[in-house]
Amino acid sequence: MTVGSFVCTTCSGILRGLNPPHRVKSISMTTFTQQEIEFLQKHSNESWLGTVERDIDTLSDVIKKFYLLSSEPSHPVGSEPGRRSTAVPAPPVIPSMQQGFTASTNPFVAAPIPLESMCTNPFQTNNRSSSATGSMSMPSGFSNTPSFCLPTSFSGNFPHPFPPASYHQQPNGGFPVYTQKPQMSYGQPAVSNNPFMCAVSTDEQGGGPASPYSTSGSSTNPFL
Amino acid sequence: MGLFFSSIFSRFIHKKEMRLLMVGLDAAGKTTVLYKLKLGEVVTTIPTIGFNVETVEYKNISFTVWDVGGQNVIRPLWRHYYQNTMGLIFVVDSSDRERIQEAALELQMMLEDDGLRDAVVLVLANKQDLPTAMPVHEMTEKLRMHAMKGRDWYIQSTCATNGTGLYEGLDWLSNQLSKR
Repeated sequence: MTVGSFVCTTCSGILRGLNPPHRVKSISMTTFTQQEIEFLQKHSNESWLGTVERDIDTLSDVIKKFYLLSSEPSHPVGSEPGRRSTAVPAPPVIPSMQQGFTASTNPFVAAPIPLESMCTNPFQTNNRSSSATGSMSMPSGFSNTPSFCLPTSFSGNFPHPFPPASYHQQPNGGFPVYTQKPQMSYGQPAVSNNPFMCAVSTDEQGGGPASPYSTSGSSTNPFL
Repeated sequence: MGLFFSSIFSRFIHKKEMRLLMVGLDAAGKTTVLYKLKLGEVVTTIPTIGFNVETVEYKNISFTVWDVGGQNVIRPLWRHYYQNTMGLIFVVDSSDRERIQEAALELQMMLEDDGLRDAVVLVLANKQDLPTAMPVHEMTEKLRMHAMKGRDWYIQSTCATNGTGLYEGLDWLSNQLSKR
């Protein structure tokens, strides 16, 4: 909530570890005020990864860096000319979901695809779980939670690689940083196809509750 | 006489156990507290879904600490953990002035429940390392601790990330246990 973007659980952990910590709210486990919803709609997830320097080592560095950048008031968040014009009530769930990142081996290449299904999701599930609260019991209550169409859905429709030049053709005109140095880091061997999928797959192995938000994705839980 | 010695003897061989329930608003630092106690290190935590439970050995007492997620939709689930809880650890983010009233209300509502009738209350005024953190006396006042009648309570300032205050809290809990 600090910066008004949607993040995956892995990123949420990193953001909470910043100093001062970012406030993170779970879509499925909390309610949002009208003010917060407007704040999310206004800020959303656009164009932040495009601001990250390219000399990054790990995914967590990327995330830390761009959230630190984007929380600086002087930073021009969302000022690109060709902003995405999807008329959806809620922005995408993953911070990396912006169009500057559609190169072939890019770890975030799957991001634009599940966008439509996710967009309507967060507040729906929120309503459902808040209305179901009365009948919830532990721990079986958690298995009643609807399974969300969140990062797990990546695995189903992971797209074929885009042509390498496709990021030049983005409707928003691309991001200068990428067009200047397109060779950087896209093909880094250290980066697997989709780092977010790694987090998701540990969820599945955990065999925990049906929700992809399961804590089993976290390294903090020694049971899983 | 023999009974006396055997009761002393059993004190040494039988580890005492204490079941603790740790709750609080989301992002108060409950999971961080738990794993700081258990592992002695700061882990990266994500918002807890469901619960974490760990056993922490300290001063020959085995504390079973249940750390339950604190986001507001899952707060009604806390009451399912009340049974047999001997101590309640209520973790509060001392720097979160906006939500201190919400925390006070949650604490008050919880203590009205019959399931926590006999539980002692340890409040951890967490995140004391942050510059905007409220001091303990202010927290005591804001949480309306003095209005609690007939309840053993204690408020301890902590910083879960560097571990200050955590064992002092457990000390108080173990003293409470030995009184019984």
